[in-house]
Amino acid sequence: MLFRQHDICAQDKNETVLDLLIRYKIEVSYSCKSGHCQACLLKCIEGKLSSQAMAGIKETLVAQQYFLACQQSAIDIQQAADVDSELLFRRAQISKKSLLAENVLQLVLQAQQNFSYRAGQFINLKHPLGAIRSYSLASVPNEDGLLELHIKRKIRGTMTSWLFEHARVGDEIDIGQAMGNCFYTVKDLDMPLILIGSGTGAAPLLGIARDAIKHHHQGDIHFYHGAGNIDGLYLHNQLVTLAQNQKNFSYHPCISASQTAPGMMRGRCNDVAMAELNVEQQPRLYICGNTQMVKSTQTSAYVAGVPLQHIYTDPFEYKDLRSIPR
Amino acid sequence: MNTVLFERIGGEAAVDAAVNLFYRKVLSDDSIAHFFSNIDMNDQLAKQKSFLTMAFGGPNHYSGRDLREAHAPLVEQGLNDSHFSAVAVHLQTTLQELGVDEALIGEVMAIAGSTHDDILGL
Repeated sequence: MLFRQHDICAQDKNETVLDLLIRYKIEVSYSCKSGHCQACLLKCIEGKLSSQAMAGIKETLVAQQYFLACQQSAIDIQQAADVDSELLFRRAQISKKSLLAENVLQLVLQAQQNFSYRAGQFINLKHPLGAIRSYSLASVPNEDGLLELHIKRKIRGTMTSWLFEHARVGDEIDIGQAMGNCFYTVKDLDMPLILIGSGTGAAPLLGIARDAIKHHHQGDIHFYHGAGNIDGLYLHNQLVTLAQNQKNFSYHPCISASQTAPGMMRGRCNDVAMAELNVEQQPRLYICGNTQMVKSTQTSAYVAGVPLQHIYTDPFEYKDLRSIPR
Repeated sequence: MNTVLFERIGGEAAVDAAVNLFYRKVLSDDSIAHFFSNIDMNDQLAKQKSFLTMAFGGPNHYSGRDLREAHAPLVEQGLNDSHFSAVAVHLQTTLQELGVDEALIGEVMAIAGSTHDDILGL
C-alpha cells in the first residue's frame, strides 16, 4: 500500500490499514479503534473498500472514498492518502471552563452559527498538535450555538491535560461535525425513557433529557446515573433540581463502590435500572458510558424483551495505548 | 433454494416472527453467549435473519465459504460440536413454540445441519 512517501505491505488479510500504519510507526491520528470515532479517516486513492469501513460516514465523504482506517483490511488497498482537514473540522471558541467535580471539566464552546447536531451526539476535538478525541454533547441545539461537553480527566491524557491545565477561555479549537445515533427523536411521546449512564456517560443523557423535555415528552423520564462514589455523581444537584421542577422526570443516583448516602441506590446503575425495567410499558432505552457496561446492558434489555431498535447506545471507547504513541 | 419449504413455513413473516425469539434464546444461553459478546447486536440480528431465511429454504446469499470464513475466528476460540448442537436446539425450540408443523421443522433442521462442517471448519 502506498501512503505519503511510504510503500508498505500488510502482513496478512486481518491487518487493518490503521494497524499497518502503526506497525510502520507512521504518524496518523486515531482514537477508539472500534469504528465509532472517525478520528482515523483516510481517503482511498486505489483499492476496494469494505462496507464496514464506510459505516457511519457522511454520504458526501463516502462519495469521495473516505474510509475508517481501523475497519479496513490493508490488503485490499493499493493507495491511500490523508484527508483534507478543512473538510472535517471547523473552528470553535472556548467560552466557558469550569469544574463539575475534581476530575470532570465542563467545557462550553461557541460554535459557528450553522453547526447542526442532535442532543446526545458526539463531536471530535482536535488538539493543537493533532491528537483527536471524541466527547458527547450535553447541550441541546440552540440559537446561541453553545456546545457543552463534560470531560473526564485521563491520567497523562494528551487532550485532557491540555484542556484541564492549559486551554483558556477565548482560545480557539478545531471541532468535527456531530456524529452518532444515540439521540432523542420526537416520536412515541408517551413512552417512558430510561436513561442509563456511568461516569461522563451522563453528558449525552443530560442532552437527551433536556431535548425530550424541550419537546414536551409526556412519558416518564428516568435518569440512572452511576459512579463508584458520591464525587462521581457530578450532576447530582442539577438533576435533583430538575426532578423537583419537572414532574415526569426522576433521578436515580447509584453508587457501586462505597457507602451510599440517603436517597441513593447501592449498586451499578445498569443493574439497578434493569431490576426496575418494565418491558410492558415499551420503554426506550439510552445507555451511555463504559463500553462493557453499555454492551452487557443492551444484551440484557434485549433478552428481557425490549426490541433492539428501541435501545440506543453510546459506548465510550477508551483504550490505554500509552505505551504506543497515539 | 427450496421455494416450497419457504412458502409453506410462512415466508418472510415467519422469519420475522422467529428471529428475535431465536436470538434471545441464543443470548440467554451461557454456554454460547460469549461468542456474541464483542459483536454489534444490530449487525448480528441481520445475520441471524439471513441464517433463518436460509434454513427456511428462502432466498439467501450464503455460501459454504462465507460460513467457513465468518466462523473461523470462533473456531479458534473453541467453537465446537456442543455449541453447534446448542444453537440447533434453540432453533428447534423456537419453531416448536411458533407452532410450526413437525415435518417442516424436520426439513429446516436438515438444512441447518448441512452447515455443520462449514461452521466448525471441518
